[in-house]
This record gives sequence, C-alpha cells and structure tokens, in this order.
Amino acid sequence: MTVTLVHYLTFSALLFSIGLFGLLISRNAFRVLMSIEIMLNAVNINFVAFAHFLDPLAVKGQAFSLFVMAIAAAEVAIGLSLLLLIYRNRMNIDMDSFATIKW
Amino acid sequence: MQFLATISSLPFYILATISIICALGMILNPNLVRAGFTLIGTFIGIAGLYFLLNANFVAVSQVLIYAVGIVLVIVFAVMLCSLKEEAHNIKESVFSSKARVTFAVLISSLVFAVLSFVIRSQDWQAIAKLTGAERQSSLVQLVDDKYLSQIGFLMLNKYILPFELVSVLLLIVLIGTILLSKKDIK
Repeated sequence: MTVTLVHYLTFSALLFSIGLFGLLISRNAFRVLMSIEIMLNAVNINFVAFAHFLDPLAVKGQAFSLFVMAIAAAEVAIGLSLLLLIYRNRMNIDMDSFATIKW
Repeated sequence: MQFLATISSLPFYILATISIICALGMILNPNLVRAGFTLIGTFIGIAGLYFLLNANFVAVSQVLIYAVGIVLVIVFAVMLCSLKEEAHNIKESVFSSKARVTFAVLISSLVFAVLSFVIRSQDWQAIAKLTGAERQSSLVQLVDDKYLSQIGFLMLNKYILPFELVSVLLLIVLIGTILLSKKDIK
C-alpha cells in the first residue's frame, strides 16, 4: 500500500484534533498558543499535500503554506507580547482568570 | 512488489508517528519549558513530511521559522514569566477536572470523526483527473528542481496582493509588539 493523499489528509485531521484537544484542555495561555501552532501546521500539511497530489506543476499550495507561516509568526509575536503584558499586570496567565470582560 | 511498497511508505509512518507523539507530549507534559521543546519534534516531523511531498523550500522554511524561531520565542517568553510553581498546579488542574477532559475528548474526537468521514467520502482519483494531475505527474520529474522558481513566480504575479499585505502585516506586528512591550504603556 503506497501513501496516498488520503493518508496525508487523515494524518492532518488527526493532528488538528490533537491541537483542538490541547486548546480545550489546557488552562495555561502558553499551552493554548502552542496548540494553535499545531493546528496551523495541520492545515499547512493539507495545502502541501494538495499541491503535490492534485496540482504538481503550478504548486499553488506551497505558496499558500508560506503565507500561513508568515501569519502564524505574526500571531505568535502579538500573542506572546499580550501574554507578557497580562503577566506583568496580574502575575498569572491562567485562562480561567481572563474573565474580566465577561458579561 | 508488495514489500517494496511497504518499505517506501515507511518514512511517512515514522514521521507521522513522531509528530503525533510529540504533539501529545506537548499537551500532557506538566513542565512548560519541556513542552515547548517537545514542540520541536512535531515541527521537525512535519518538515520531513514536506520533504517527502517534494516541497523542499517549505520544509526548510518550516525548520527555520517554526522549529527554531517560534519555539525559541515561546520558550523565552515562558522563562520570562517564570512559572515554576505554577507548573505543578497545572498538572493537577489538567487531570483533576474530569468534566473538562471529557468535554475536550468528546469535541476533538467528534471533529476527527467528521473530518475523516469527509475525507473518505471523496473520490480523489476523479478529482485528480479533473485537475489534470494524472497527466501532469509524468512531467513532474522534469521540473522537480523548478519548484522554488515557481513559488517565486506565483508570489510576484498571481499572489502579489497577499504578498504585499503580508509585508504590511509584519510591519504592523513589529510596531505593535514594541508598543505592547514598552514599560510605560498608556
């Protein structure tokens, strides 16, 4: 059995679900950020796999995955500086304590 | 023949297993710094999969941006917040709240079930025929080393607008990060 597109897509779905699991289970904001990174990577695998199996000449999926990487880097930079700011003001980064703006 | 096919699919399974084990380790490791370093394994495994998919440039970018850049920044931020005593509480809270774990397992397995059902229900052979990938894949060997120039061509022709928008976004992020991390923020 050779590795086909279905294998890559299933692996990506599994990785995405693991990232979602980590996002829901973790109370620490840093771990939430790491889980989001895993989910973005899972989506990137889809892009590259589609580019390889369905569009092998004009590899548009690879260009898309590079855009996703740039946006992920931006997201991490902003997210971490916000977290450091919150930590400086409140001295903890527990997700459950970010309920100040809740109605 | 069967044996050869099995051998050639072995790297995919090894890399996928490494990525998944490291991702699970990241979620379940109570020590945050170690969790950050475990993330490197996931990213390296995914970079290996990109090499298998003939996406060399994306694989190298993955190693440079994710496995080195993002992990390093996250680990430094974790160390700045020095959550040593909190790391023990997290282990407790992750495993103590049963309702939360049940909810997370339920939601994520539901998402995985739906996604894999959708993936299985598609006829990928027909779609490959529709996009002409069957016909093109014989040409791929010829243009194997032209991927990088193809990506550059796409980014400066068809995707010129998103390309420029990403550069504007990076500039905004640069300014925003400096503003946010200033001590006397008004």
